Amino acid sequence: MRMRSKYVPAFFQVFENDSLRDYLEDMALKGWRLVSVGSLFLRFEPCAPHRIRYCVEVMEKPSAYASNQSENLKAYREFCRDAGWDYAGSTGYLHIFFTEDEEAVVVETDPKERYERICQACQGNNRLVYVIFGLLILTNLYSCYVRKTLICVNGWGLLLMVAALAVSLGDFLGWKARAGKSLREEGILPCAPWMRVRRKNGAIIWTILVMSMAPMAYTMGQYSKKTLILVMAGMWIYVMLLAFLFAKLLYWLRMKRAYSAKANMAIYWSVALVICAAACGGALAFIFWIV
Amino acid sequence: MAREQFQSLSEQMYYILLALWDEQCGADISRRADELSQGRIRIGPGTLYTLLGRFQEQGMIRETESAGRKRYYVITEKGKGMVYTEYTRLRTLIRDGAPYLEAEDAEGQEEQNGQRRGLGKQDLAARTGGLGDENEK
Repeated sequence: MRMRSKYVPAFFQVFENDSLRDYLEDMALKGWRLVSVGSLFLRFEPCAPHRIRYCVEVMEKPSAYASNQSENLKAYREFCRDAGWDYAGSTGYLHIFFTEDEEAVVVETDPKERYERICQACQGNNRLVYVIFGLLILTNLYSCYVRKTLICVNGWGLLLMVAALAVSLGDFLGWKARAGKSLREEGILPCAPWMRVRRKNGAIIWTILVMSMAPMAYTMGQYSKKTLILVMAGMWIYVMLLAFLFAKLLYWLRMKRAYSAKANMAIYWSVALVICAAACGGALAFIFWIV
Repeated sequence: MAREQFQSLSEQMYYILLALWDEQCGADISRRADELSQGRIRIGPGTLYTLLGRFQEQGMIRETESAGRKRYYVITEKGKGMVYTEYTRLRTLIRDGAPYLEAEDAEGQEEQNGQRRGLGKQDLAARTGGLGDENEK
């Protein structure tokens, strides 16, 4: 008996938008139609296998905080609808359109413009990666200073996480170089096979998730096994809940409100700080109670 | 930045502005550009929307009417000036390149014709078993 819905994590980076398009089209040919786009997951429902065309695009002046209810984006979607493209939703910077009309011209036909928007969006993302890099390296240096060593054992976990982030950043820089060359020589953007992209991104995300727990596991090593397991489980649940809350908050701001991108950013980070402070307080209380 | 952007028009920009010589609404602009370029230039709705916004900001087109969701646009004098500048630039390129490129083109044509005549003789020879030339004489 076929499942009613399938939830698939959206493991595609901004510059992998054409790979996401190919993935969605393959899913349609296998009998799965995209029905909604969440912040972390894509929801599919079964349908008769047939060809559905998709376009996955980055808007002009991309912002992760831009509201989907702004007049400009609404007008853009209506323009596309008049040309035969319906709107499925957005995940991060990526907006997904679909049609069953084989004659409809693709949504964006200027590859140079697409390239520039993708670069702007990725550079916005990469600032966050640089901040995470910096924090991780600082905490590791601090640990080395405290322990008076060149490298800490728990630093291996951090190093692997840093390596995973470096792979992600290097990925974009590699794409940028290939895309520039492809635009000059052929006038098109390169597109990697979606299966390879999903596997690679899945491996990066799992590495970051697992290795982010490694330093904690080492630090807590001096406590009993039961304490360690309880603390680790507690920390995991906290982190997952926080990630879920942040994702839901941003989704609500973007999809249900029509505030400006700057207002959304201010609301998001203010609420995030309050939640983080409360979570840290709760986590410390939990650890003290356990210990 | 805006001046640099429109100093030379891309093909898509050029055909959109040509299409707007007469008043048109959104979806019809793409169709008109497709007709003018004889199917060579196809403009997606997203690209069209973005360019219409930029042209409006620069005063190259103006909105004439808004009927529900449909908006009608027409090119302004400034827009016509930019299209004419681009047209003149392209004509200058063709004029300057003509002595070199048309001569080469003519040579290429002669070679092709020569090859066709040669092939024609070979074909005739193949059919008549080598008596073609004698017959021609």
